[in-house]
Amino acid sequence: MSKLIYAFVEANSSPPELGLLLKYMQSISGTTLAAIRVNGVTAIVSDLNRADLVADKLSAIAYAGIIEELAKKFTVIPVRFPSFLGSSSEVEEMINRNLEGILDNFRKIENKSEFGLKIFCDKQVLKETLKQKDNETIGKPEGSELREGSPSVYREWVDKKLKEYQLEEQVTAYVNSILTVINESVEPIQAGCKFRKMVSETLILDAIFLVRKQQKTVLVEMVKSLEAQFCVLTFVLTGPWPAYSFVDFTVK
Amino acid sequence: MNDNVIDSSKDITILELLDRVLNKGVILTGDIVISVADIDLIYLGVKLMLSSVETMEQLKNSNQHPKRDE
Repeated sequence: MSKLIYAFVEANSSPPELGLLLKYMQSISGTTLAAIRVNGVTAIVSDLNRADLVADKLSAIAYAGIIEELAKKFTVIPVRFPSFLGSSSEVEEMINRNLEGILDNFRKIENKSEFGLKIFCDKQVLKETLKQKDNETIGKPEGSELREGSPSVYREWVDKKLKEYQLEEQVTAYVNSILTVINESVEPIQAGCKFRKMVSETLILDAIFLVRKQQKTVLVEMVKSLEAQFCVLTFVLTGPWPAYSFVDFTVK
Repeated sequence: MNDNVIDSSKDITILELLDRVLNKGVILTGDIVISVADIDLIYLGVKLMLSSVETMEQLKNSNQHPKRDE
């Protein structure tokens, strides 16, 4: 029967405890979970024929739940849902082929968790706030004094576009200033960081941090302080997650 | 922000979870087994939640200013 693979776990970390954990957990299809150990690496698997997989949202959530439970006690490399190999021996061969990459990633993520930080903002509210703060500059666009004279539709249109452009620039500068503050705040505690800015009209920053497990409270307090500092924005911190976004090796 | 900043929004948490389990983690190449239709179903769910995320600010505001009893 095929093996559905959930994660790789460091086998050196308390195997009896792992056995106990697996005994009380169920696979996504309700069967028992099993451990396949090879050279310091344990693959957590369950028996499941590919055709029997119910590939829906609930299965994906259950799959992630198993990885999360394992990650509470062990260093875990999550495998993407759903990944199958044909048999136990194929799993063993795959681990042997990829042993170096798996061990490297264990070292990288050991005792660390992943946190997601999303920063939302209503762009219109932000623009209004920035307008109020800097009304003089925005109210009189650069160069407008050069176009003194009788009003015209064309001039009004140019002034309006210029104001809009300047406001967009202010929004970008504001987001960059937030990024700088976040980077400076997180730098001492993060072991890895990835981010995208201005993802959409409402999502101005989507960041992922790899943080030592014992630094969780520091990160939470830091985000609280940032939200107090930038009250126009909504901060959403999620985690701790297994280090999904910080494992990087291609399986051979 | 609430005292409990972790998991402050259920929708976002599920979205984040699905994003991770479907799009991140180690890929065992050649083992993508779900049918195209099922993948679409899962991703459709994610997209739906993404659109709901965009109303989060409104939800937050409505929570901060609860309606008065009529």
